[in-house]
Amino acid sequence: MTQQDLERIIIGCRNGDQASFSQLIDIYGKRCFGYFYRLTGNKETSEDLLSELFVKLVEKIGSYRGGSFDGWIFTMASNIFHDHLRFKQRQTHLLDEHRRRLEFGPKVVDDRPDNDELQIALGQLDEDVRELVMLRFFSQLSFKEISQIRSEPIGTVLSKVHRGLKRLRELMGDATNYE
Amino acid sequence: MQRTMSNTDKENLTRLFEAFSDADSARQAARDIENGDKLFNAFPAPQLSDEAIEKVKARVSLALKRRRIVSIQWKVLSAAGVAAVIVIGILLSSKFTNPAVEARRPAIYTAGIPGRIWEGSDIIADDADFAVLAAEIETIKNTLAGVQVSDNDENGDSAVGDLEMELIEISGDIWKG
Repeated sequence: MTQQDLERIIIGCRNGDQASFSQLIDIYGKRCFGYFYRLTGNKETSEDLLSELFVKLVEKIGSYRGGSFDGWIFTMASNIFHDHLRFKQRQTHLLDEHRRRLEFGPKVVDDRPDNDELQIALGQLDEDVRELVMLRFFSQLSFKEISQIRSEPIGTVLSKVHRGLKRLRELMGDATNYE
Repeated sequence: MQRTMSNTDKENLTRLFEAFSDADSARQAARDIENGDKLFNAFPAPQLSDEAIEKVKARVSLALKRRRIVSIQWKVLSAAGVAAVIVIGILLSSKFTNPAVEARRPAIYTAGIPGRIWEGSDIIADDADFAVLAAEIETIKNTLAGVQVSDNDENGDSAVGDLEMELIEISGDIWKG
């Protein structure tokens, strides 16, 4: 798909054309789902976040002012993920209080991810580093673009991603002998 | 997920790292990053099912319908707003241009007096109306003088009455325009 094709689709979306949105979902759906999945480790949650992202896109497409569309859509995805985190933290806090009052067992909500080895290792990275690594891989943005959308110096972004990937390989050990 | 040529591929990682470390470390860091990409390709995230994609598309379709409704409501409200502004404008303009209302407003009389009267040195000659008025004032002056002269005469009361009548008439003429 060329840049002109993408621009044509975006114009269609701005005009409220359903077929253009459908194309946009076909182009970005899998990548955004992968991004959400690797951050949450849960398929259903990732599908919900994906829906939320594209519904938000319907509302916000008019505010896209050119530039990297990948950067724009992944910034929105990142914001949606952070909103989800905040909501989850509030929910956990309320549930903990409720559990304490009712003297429930150790865990009320079973939110275990559909794990693979990479997901388990990712779970051991710092939240910030994990998100940067995901952004780097799924958004396919350059480090310069990532540093811009995250408002962090490029050196910091490079260092965090490098450190994160090295740690992942350490954590996964033999599993990384796929080359 | 197999990646296509992207901005990630276009950047020169070694050169990027060289800005922050020596050449050897930069090359090693660049290799680490590339290996990281390979790691993600080797462990792909689960595929997004067609059913899930359809669900997303259905939600987007609903959101689009909502957006259209909101857009129509917004247009109707805007049109109503514009209509209200026009109606208020018409009401206000009719209030200020209506002669009955105009008469109640404090008038700036000087604006109604022709400029030539202000500028001219001989008012009577310039304006016929003023000439008539001046003549009447002159008549009243003479009548008043006559009244004063015959103040003790038998006819004094009648002369004062005539004068009053004349003043009332003149006053009426002035206000009628």
